Amino acid sequence: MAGDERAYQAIYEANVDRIYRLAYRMAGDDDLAKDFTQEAFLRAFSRLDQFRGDAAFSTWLHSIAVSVSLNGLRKVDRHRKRERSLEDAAPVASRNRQLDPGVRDRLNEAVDTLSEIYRTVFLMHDLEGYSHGEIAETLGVAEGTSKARLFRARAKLRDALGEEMQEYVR
Amino acid sequence: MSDDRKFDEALAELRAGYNPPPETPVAEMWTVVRAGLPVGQGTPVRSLDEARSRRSRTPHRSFGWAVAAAAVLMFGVGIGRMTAPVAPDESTVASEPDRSLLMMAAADHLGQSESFLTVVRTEARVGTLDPEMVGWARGLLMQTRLFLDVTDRGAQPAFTELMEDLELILAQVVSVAEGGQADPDRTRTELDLALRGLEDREVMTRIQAASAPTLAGT
Repeated sequence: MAGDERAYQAIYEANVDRIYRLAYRMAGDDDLAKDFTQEAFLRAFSRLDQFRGDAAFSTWLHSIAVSVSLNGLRKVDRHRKRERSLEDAAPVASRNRQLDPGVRDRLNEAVDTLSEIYRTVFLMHDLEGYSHGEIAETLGVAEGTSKARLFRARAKLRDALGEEMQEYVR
Repeated sequence: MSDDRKFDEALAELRAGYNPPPETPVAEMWTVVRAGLPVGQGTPVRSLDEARSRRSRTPHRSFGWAVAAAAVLMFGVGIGRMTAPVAPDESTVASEPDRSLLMMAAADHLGQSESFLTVVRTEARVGTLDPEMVGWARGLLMQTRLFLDVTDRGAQPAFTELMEDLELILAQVVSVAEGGQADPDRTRTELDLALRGLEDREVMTRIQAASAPTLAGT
């Protein structure tokens, strides 16, 4: 068991940062992100016999993590009700002089209200830097589908920003 | 200012401000995951709730040598076709679960290194290096060094040589990234030098060759 544990731990260490970051981006809540991350690892470890080795282990683990996160978010529906206080937003404002706080909130809300399939691809690609190849493998879709979803997500954000796109840059 | 430019700025703002992840609570989460691990051969992994309830009874271990320990076991059973055939010593031969898990750990490291170097090659063409790459490079460099620290160089010459080449390239990339990117031409030149070593030493090909049998468990 000792050897097993070290091996589990090595796998955990090699992957936990990216999994947690993605879970946090999706959930916007530390407790949920930790839950999703832990659940993903435990599920992966319990299903190791199902890992066929035809994809990278990290990709397989990401698939489980995304599935766990989406299911968890459906249960709590927190991402649609998330409220961002002005206090929380203040440090962000200080990092970017050009965005009006109202526009920033609107932008965040626009991402929140993206449908699940668009939001997931958008968060993975534009915020966490996953390639379309990685996203496609993780979500079990074609690379072209990932690109199309990102295009649609960006288009919806542009639409949501609407007139502010003309106004917010001082 | 064009709408595209404005939208790019909006994306940059989102990257920094939309659910920005704090530092990953690696150790804290491990205490729960560890509590859910099977206690012996044939026992199941526990659910998250069960793992949480056991957490307080489970002492925490430090992380520093996790990869190294995995590497020791992995090299004990012999990994991939790169290793010379040696008579197994029963005292060091890992169990089957060890073997498959450790092979995954090695495959993971090699796979991530390959992905990283692919991205670096792409970025080198335009003379930029995403700041987020630095953390990735440092992590890979640390793991590579841990593997090197515990490798029996005499018994694993090909693997050692690959890790040494990988270490050198990763160290160069970290050095370039830490040096700032004020001058794209200089960044491109320095990355070119690092990547020339990558090509000359056929590092990518050797990583792919090492990963394939590792993943296949041969």
